[in-house]
Amino acid sequence: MKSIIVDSSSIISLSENCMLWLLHKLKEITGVHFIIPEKVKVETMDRALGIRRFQLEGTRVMRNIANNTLEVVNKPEVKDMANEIYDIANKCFYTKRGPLKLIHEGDAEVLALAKHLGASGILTDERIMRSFIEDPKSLMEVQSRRLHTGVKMNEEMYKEFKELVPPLVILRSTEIAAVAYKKGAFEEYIEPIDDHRIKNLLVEGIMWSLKYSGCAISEEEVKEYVTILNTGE
Amino acid sequence: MKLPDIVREDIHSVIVQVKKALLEMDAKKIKDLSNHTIHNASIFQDSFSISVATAVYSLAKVIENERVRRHHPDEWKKFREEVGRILDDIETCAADKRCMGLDEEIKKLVKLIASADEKFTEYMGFVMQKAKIKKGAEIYRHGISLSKAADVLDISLWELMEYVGKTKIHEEPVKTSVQERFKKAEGFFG
Repeated sequence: MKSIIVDSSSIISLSENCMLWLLHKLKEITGVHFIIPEKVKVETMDRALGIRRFQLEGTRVMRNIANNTLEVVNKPEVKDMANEIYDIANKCFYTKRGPLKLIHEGDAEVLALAKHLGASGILTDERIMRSFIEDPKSLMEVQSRRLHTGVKMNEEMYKEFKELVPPLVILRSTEIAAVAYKKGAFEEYIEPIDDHRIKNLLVEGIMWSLKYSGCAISEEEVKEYVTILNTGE
Repeated sequence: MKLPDIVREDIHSVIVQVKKALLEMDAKKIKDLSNHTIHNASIFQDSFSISVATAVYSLAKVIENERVRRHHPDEWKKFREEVGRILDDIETCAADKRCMGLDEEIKKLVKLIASADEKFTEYMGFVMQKAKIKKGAEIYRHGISLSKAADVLDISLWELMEYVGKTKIHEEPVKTSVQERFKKAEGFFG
């Protein structure tokens, strides 16, 4: 069973834009399972249902959990592993004032679940966890610049972290939308519209709306996506 | 929690400068001072730095609202005097290595600003909540994960992402190109 672990940020971006159905569609077409840990369910469903402004979005998440598009996994051994990952990850970078606590228990639970289930990817719309795994050096540079103090890496700790967390493909909601678009998920949407601009407008609309909902994608990247999806280059 | 000396000293120094800026009604300076506190808030994630950063930022937002001063001159005068008194008390507490009473005084400041916001404007608790979201985004910009920033500020990730999406935080250059990332995604889903 091929699976991807989904973190709160991607569910939020997709839900805000009524695009959670893309996960259902992709699961149907490709058989990939979308898994969430308990903490992600709490943040994206339970918490949203308690805030008037996000209650509707919360019900969208609720629906996708109920129809098993988002599969919730809650196992004590994952929590233990998450604690270990949390402790190690939050000791990897430090300043002269002490270690930087970069990641949250929920982030650690996403990584622990990926390891536990042997998942090959994670879906996250936030920049820090992505950089932490893919490009820790540039994250360190950003932190040094922003914090106005030297940030160093504890190489030993980072090595330990890498040993603990399996190699993962990291995707954002924009990649989900792009792959779904390529696989024809939006055909029903496009078909009735008799206007040659529709594909371009749709792709732009999808990418900008995800960006404005907080997905970590730059303006430049959005423009690149529009070109790739419309010309195939 | 035991407050590190460096944090306590920074709070002390910020409060001294806020008092001066308040006398000059310099909202911009007060906002800058709030940003200074956020460096410590990002590193130590202590409730003191976080509360001071949000309270000081909210104070700046209240004082830059001219309508408040024009329409409620008496209440405004009373508010300003009361803020001044609490800032004096915070300064005294932060000068003490044991930080006795610091927590209570910061809470008093937060409460006073929140109630002023409710009294003077049509929005309930708007300034404090907006300040928390803004400071959460600042912490994220400093390289702390979104969930962690939301947790530290006690706001929901929903609110934080909604705000972050409208900023330029994600305009940093990235190592992996879109082309490469899309290929990976297509490969993943087969």
